[in-house]
Amino acid sequence: MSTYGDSGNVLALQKRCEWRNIEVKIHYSDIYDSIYPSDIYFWGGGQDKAQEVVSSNFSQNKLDFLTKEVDNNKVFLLICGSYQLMGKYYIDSNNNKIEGLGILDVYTQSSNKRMIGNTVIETNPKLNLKVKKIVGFENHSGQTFLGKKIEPFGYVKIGFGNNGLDKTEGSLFKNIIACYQHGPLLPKNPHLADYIISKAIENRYGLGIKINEIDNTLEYAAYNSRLKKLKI
Amino acid sequence: MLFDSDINYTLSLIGAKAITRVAGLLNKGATALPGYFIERLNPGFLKVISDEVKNCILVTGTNGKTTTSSLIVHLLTKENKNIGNNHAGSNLKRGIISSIVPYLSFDKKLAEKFDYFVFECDEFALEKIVQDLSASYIVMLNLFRDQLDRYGEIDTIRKKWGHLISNNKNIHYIVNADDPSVASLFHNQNLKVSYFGVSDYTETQDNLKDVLFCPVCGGKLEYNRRYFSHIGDYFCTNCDFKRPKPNLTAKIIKDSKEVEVEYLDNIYYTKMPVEGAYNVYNIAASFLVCIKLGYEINNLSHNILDFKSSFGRYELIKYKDKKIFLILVKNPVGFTQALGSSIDNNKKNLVFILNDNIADGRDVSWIWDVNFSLLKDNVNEIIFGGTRMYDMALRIKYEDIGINKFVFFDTYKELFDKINQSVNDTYHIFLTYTALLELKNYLSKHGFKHFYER
Repeated sequence: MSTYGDSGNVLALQKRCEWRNIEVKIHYSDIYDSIYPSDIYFWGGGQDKAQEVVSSNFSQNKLDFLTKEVDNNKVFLLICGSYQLMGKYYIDSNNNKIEGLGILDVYTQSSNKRMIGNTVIETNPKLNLKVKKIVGFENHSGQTFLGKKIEPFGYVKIGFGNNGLDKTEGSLFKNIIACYQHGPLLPKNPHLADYIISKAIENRYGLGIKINEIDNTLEYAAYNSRLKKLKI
Repeated sequence: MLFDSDINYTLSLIGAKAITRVAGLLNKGATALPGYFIERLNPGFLKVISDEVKNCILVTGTNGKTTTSSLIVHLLTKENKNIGNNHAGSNLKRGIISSIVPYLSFDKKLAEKFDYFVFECDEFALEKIVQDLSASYIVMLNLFRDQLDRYGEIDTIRKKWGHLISNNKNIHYIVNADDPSVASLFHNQNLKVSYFGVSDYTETQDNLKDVLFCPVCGGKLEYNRRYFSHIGDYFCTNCDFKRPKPNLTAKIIKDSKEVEVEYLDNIYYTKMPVEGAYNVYNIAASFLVCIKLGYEINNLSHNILDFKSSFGRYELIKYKDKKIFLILVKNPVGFTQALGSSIDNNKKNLVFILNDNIADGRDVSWIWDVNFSLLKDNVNEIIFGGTRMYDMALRIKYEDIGINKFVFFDTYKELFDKINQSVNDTYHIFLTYTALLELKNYLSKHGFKHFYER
C-alpha cells in the first residue's frame, strides 16, 4: 500500500543515509511478495479497498515473520492504513470488520468525519528526539483507539490525531512508530528521520555509533515555515 | 406555488445579472459569483431552465477537462455551430449557471440560440449537475489522485460516477478505454458507450500506480503496456475485465507532431496543435465526440490545426524580450507529463510556484509523487515561490539532481526582476492554480492583457 507521497519517506531515509556514506538497499514488496528481511520497514497508507485486499491475502508465514521482526526490535514506520492494519481490527465504512494483524494493541472505527488538515505533534518524551515537535498533514476518517499495552507516538497540538477526541496521535511500541502523518513526513522532520536511521544502526551494530550531522537548512526552513504559519 | 417559484426565479436572475454586470465593469473576474448567488437563493434554478439548455456535452476527469472541452468547442465552432460553454466560469454548478445567466430572459428563455452546450464539470460536482441538466454526452477522461484532501479518496468519486451511470442509462458516454478505473464502470453493462484510447505512447517513467487491483474483482491487474500512471493496455489476471477495444485510437508518430487517428479501420492524419504528448488523449476524446455528433474526421483533422492552448496550458507569454511558458500543475500525473514534455537537450530555466490555498489543495504531499528525476542534467536554474516554496525546494533537494543553489522569491515583482536581469531568455513556470491567478494579476497590472478564461 502506498498512497500520496509515501515515497517521500523512503527517499528521505535513503538520501540521508547516502549523504553520510551509509549504503542503502531498498526492496519494494507487493502484496503477493514475501517480506524481505530488512533493518527498517516502511509501510504506507491505502484506501479502504486496498486495505481489505491486503488483509485477506496476508499469510500466516508472513505474519510469523513480521512478529519475529517486531520482537527483534526492527524499526518500523507505519502510516495511516498500515497503522490500522497492524492493529487488532478495523470497522470500515460499510460496517465490515476487517481483521488486523494484531501486533499493535489498537482498534480503528470508521467515522463519517474526515479528519483532514495540517498538524503539529508534540512527540512522546520517550523518543527523546533532538527537536520535540513534528509537523505534518493528516487525512483519514478512521478513528483509532489505543489499548492499555501501548503508548501514543505523540500528542496533538494542532489537528485531530488518532481519533479527534483524546489528543493522542499514533502509537509507539518497541521500535514501531505508527501514525496518521501521511505523505512525506520525514523530509521536513529530519530529527525523526535521523532517529529512525540511528535506531536501525543501534539495533544492528549496538550502541555507540553516532551518525554525522548534515546540513538541514532547507529542511528546517520548511519545518519552521509550517510552525510559523500555524502560529505555534 | 408556481407564482412563488416565478418570483424566486425573477428575483434571483435580477440579482445575478446585476452581479455579472458589476463584476464585468470591475474586471474582477468573479466568474462564479452570479451562479453562487443564484444557488444560495434558488437551489432549483438550473433545473427550471434545463429545457432551454439542450444538447449538452459534459466533460469530466482529473486531467484534460479544460483542453478537451476547449477542443470540442473549437471543432464545433469551426462547423459554424454556436456553442454555449463555461470557460469563463468555474466547473462547478455555479459556474455553469453563471455562464448561462447573461443569455437568460425573464420568461425563462435563452435570448440566443445555441446548437450545443459544452460544459467542463468538476468530477466531484458532476453527479449534481447531471441531476439538473439533461446531458446528451458525458466524456470521462481519467481518474488520478488529485486534491485528496477535498475528495477523501478516489474510490469516493468512482462510486459517485457509478451511481450516476446507473441512474442515467440514456446518456451516451465517451470513455477512456485506457483508464481501468473509469472503463470498469461500464464493464458488462448494457449502456451507450464509445471508447477512445491511445495505440502507442512514448513511455514516461514513473512510479505512479493509482490502481493496483482490478476495480471489478479485486484481483491483480497487469499491463501488456503501461503508458503512464495506471493508464495503458491492461487486463485482470483473475476475471474477464480488460481494456475494452476502443472505437477510436490516436497516437503521436514518433519524433514528430503528427497524430495518426484510427477509426473504423481507416487512418487519418492531423497535427498536435498544442504542446504536451498527453494531449493526444484530449484530441482522441474530442474527435470521438464530434464524430458521434456527425462530423467528418477529415474536417476535424483540418479544423484542429489553429486551436490555441488556454489558461496555463503551455500558455506562451512574451515578457519584454523573454519567452515564458505558463504550465498549470495540479497533480502528480499532470506534473510528470508536463515535465516530460518540457525537457529536451537544452538546459532549462525553471520556476516552481507551489501554493496551498483551498483551490490548489491544502495538502502538498503529491509533489513527492512527481518524477523530478527527469530534470537531472537538464536544468540550468530553478527559482522557487509560493506559500509552500520550501516544501517544493526540499522535494528537489531529495531528488538529488545536482541542484545545490536554491533561489526563492517572495513577490512577483522580485520574480520578474530576476527573470528580466537573467542572461537566459526562456523560462518554464510550473505553478498551481491560485499562483497562476496571482501571476496573471501581476502581469495585467503591468500592462499585460487581463483575462479570466480558465
